[in-house]
Amino acid sequence: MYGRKASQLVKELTGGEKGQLKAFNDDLINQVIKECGSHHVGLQALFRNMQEEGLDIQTTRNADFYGALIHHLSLTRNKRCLMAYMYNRADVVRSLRWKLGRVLPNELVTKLSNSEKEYFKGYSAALDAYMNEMNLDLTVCMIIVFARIWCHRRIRTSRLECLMILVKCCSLTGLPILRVTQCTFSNELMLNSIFVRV
Amino acid sequence: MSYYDVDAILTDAQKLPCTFGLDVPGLGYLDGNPGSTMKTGSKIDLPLWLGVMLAVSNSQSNEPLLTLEYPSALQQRVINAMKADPKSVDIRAQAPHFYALAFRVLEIFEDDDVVATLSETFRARAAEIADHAHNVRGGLAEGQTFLASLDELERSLYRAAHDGRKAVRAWETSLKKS
Repeated sequence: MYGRKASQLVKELTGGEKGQLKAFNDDLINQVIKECGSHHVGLQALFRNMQEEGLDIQTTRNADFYGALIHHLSLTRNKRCLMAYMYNRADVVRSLRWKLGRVLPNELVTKLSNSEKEYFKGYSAALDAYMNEMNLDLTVCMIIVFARIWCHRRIRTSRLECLMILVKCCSLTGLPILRVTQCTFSNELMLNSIFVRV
Repeated sequence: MSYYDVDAILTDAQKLPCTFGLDVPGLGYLDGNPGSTMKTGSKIDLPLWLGVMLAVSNSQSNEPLLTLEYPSALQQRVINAMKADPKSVDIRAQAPHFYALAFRVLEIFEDDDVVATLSETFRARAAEIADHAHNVRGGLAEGQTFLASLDELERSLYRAAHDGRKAVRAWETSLKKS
């Protein structure tokens, strides 16, 4: 009623620290899905009523129509809550790969659903394949990575331009430039890249 | 993006009073009496997502199905209290997602006076929030009451200010060490 269970589900995403997951609430999800089922049944029944009375579904605005409309709106609301629950959790699962690496600690794994575990594995595999192909470890120092990727697009850039790009990358990643101790330029297959030790 | 946004969803779950303009049989379950009719003129609280859609759905007949009113969080007495002293109004007690609720409601009822009052309130409270975030006074009673009266938007503002200050301090210490 009123999508209360669905709102409760979404509320589970708040509370607690950002980036923390609670246990996957299978139970509540099943209840919401059941509610959707009953709304659907109600919707069908009302439409059948309208058809039996010979009314045009597109244009009539009688009581049955409004009843059906409410069922429809409840269905879309429940759908939205379910999708948002999955989407936001998937966001956190992706960030776990970056924060904690390929293997997750056991207490965390118990909180994930089976599909989330599969998602984590798939995401991890895709990331590893990409890093292997680029020959680049993205999970290490972001400044080196960004500078290198950015410079990939330029050929024979001046030193000043490279430094400007570096400053821009630092502001993007939010890391302060503490100290630039060494700056070397190397040519790799007609591409310039900067390696900066921070 | 706001389809998946948790704050948008929770805002839409907040309620506002609606008056039915038609007799609708079979909708009694909204009022807690399944199987009965919803009579014209009966007033119930519906969540935003339902109320707003039903109110705008009626395009053809003369009688609107629903008429909406201001939720209790945005009644005249609250607006007056805000005009008098913005910092002492307990916004969280009115609605946890107060500003977001006001945003949605004012899309339907256009009311410049309320908009102006709310903008002023937000401005005044934001200054107070920044003050609290940067000078944390532990245990002071009025400080705690103010912080408990912040709604979700103001809370995220407070957290942003507080964390920003902490991060800068941490960075300064790391500079000194190296």
